[in-house]
Amino acid sequence: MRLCVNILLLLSLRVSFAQQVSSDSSFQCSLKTGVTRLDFFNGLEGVYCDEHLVFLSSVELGVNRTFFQKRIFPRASIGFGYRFTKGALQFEPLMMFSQSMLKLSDSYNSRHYWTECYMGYRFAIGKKWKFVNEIMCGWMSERYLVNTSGAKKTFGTFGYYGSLGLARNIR
Amino acid sequence: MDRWDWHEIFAKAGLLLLLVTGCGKKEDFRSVLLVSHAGMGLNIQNSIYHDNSREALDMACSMIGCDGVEVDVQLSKDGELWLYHDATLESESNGEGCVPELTRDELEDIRYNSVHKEKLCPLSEISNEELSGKELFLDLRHLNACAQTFVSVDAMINQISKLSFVQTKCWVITNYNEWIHPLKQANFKVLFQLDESAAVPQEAASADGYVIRNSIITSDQVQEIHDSGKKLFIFDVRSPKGIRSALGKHPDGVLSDDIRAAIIEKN
Repeated sequence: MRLCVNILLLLSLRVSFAQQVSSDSSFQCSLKTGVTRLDFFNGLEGVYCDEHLVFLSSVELGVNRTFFQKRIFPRASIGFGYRFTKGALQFEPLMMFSQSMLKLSDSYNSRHYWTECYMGYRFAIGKKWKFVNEIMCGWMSERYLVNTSGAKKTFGTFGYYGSLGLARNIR
Repeated sequence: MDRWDWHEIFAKAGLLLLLVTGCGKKEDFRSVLLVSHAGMGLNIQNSIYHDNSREALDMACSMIGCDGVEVDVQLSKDGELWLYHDATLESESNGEGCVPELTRDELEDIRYNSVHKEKLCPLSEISNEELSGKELFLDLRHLNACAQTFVSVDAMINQISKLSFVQTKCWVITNYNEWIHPLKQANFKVLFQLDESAAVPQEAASADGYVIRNSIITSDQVQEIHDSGKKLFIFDVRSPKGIRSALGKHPDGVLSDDIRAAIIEKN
């Protein structure tokens, strides 16, 4: 975890330095729909690219839990990658960290947390409007309280994420 | 629209979310037991662990809001009870043949064809502590599919009786009516599985209750069974809609394949 934070810090320093010497940066905002082992997710994603380095963050909601079970199931992600090709066709290998939370009951502490750490790619095609596809896989874990005394249990497994979306170049 | 009014868009999206998540008055399902089917669900793609594995059982038992766990039980050649659902080992594991044809030495090397390659688990290795006070539902398999013969009910009863948690927290399920009487005589709480309709056959009238698919029973039939003094548990409950429909019939319990969704619906 500490290593990841350090990597992110170094990359963010690199971006702030790059902003002073280069104007070759872009920002995309996209609407996307994705699937994980837990649920289908719909949400917004912002992607900042400075020369070749890509940073993304997204906020999504689980469709089945939020809309069909009336229990808000949010998922927040951050990620970074490297853009190999620019222009109308973009391809980026990515690393993404996500955290999602679901409260099963109102009458006791029943929050389940999922942490996901995935690697994969992001592919975008188009000029101002882009069709976007992301495919990732890696490790995910589920953590929750097992009794009222505060004992927790964690279960880990293989996870995946795939999404399709529509992005627009903001600048 | 040259410029998007982000304040208005966010306000409308928030209002829509509140409407979607805040509508509807919930019924009271506190009296309905939530039982996790086959550990953490049978044939569920997004389940972390394979059905009837020790890991799945552990996960279900550790979840607050889950009142019990159902597992499928088969008798091995050397008279031990093993958790396994299918008739043959080939369908779900790297083993070959049927559980009733193999001994402990052969069964303990077999692993499920899943991401975690869980081992097959003998029921004797499940402790009271692992069950954490949850009720256990044992679905007894009476057929040896390889030899096309029936398993000995006496050997099955003998093995179940050895389990420490049996008399207080255990239900046995069978769909073979000839087993109801011997199981009742051995003081087990017996549930008979109704496979085709909610009509209770005469031979199954002595069971303590029934287990039935959600799709073939109505609320009125649930009430009729309750009026006759029997318990009723509903299974084959997967989607949120199916869970809502099963809970709405007010059975004694719901054997759900998605226990998280069932906990949400109950609460």
